[in-house]
Amino acid sequence: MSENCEKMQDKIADYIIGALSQEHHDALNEHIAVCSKCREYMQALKAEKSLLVEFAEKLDAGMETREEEVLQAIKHCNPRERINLLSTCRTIVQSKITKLTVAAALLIAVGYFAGQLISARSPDVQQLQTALETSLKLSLGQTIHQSLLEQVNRDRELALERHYVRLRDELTRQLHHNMSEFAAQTLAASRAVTDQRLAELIRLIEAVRTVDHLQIEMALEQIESYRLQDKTRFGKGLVSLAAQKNKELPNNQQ
Amino acid sequence: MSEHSDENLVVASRAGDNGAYAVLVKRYYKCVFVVCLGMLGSIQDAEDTAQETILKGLINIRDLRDSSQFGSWIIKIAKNHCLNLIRRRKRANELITQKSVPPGQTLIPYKSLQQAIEKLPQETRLPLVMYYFGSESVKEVAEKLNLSRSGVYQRLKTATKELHKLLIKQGEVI
Repeated sequence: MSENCEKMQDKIADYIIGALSQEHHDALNEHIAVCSKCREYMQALKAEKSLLVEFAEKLDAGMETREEEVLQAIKHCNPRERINLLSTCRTIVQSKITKLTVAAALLIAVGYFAGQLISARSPDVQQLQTALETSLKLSLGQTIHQSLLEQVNRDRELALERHYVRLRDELTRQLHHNMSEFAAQTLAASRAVTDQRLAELIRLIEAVRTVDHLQIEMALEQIESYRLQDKTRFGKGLVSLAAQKNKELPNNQQ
Repeated sequence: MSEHSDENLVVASRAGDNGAYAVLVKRYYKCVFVVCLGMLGSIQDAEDTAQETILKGLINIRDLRDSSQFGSWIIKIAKNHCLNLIRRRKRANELITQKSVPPGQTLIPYKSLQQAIEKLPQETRLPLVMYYFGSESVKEVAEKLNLSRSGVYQRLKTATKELHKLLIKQGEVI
């Protein structure tokens, strides 16, 4: 294989994974047109890529079954008990008090054996066992008590955290509900007030119209009354004028 | 934070709600499986290790400090599990001179391809599997493996060339 072919096969691999620039792509096409070996190499890599994609699809088709198996395994696992047990054991083992307790017990044991050796008496195993038991009971009792308290505190914190999340979600839901209700009520109240105001306005317009009508009627009556008065006065004036003319007429004849 | 956010589901799982953990499993199982397959190369091993990882996640969920980081946390557990398995196998192979490979599950039409993938070095196999089998982009693979994009392209290219060589060696002409 020539050095150029080696370079081109590198470019073919780039092309297969979609990392070849257009500039190199053109150069590669030119080379492939004349080099059968590199053309075959490219075809082989393309076929392998297709096979990989096909294989991945087949594998993906079985993913749900695998998930289901895992979910079944989870159902049979009681995490709470195991968590508590593991956590408690880990706390106890990792606790400084436990380490100090064990160290103290060992020191007592070493001291006891040393005492026995110095006093040149045979070691009293029963006495040693009792001493160790008492010491361990006193120290471990305190440790276990403390570990259990810590465990209870952790459980309580987790429960509080969970309840806090639930409470917050519940409050948010309640707030949304209340806001919607308030908006609906406000809208209904606003509509009622508007209707009332409109009715009042109509009543007011009607009253004003009635008053105007009455005033017009009164004015017409007044005009009629003035007209009748004027008519009477005019009639009286004519009568007095006629009487005066009648008086003046004989005098003129004399 | 939505009701089905990772954070809420982790809090519920810690309180013993297996249903909440099941939702997390459905969300991350494929990721875990693909990482296991990429690291171990065998489907059977990947299935077993992915299942162990999920169960370990359930048991140790209280150790997860940042509830929103469940995804990266479970992937870390999967990687550690795979590394432990690889170390154990290596030690066992050193003790037993005659190497015996346990028969794993194979999809018959793709047997040669699967064998070739198993023979790829882990550092190139993992990006290849995540890219093709996890349907992840180069950017996503780079982020998950803490590599640069050019680094991922380089490994994909090497894997493509190596895979071809292995298939030729196995006598597999496609």
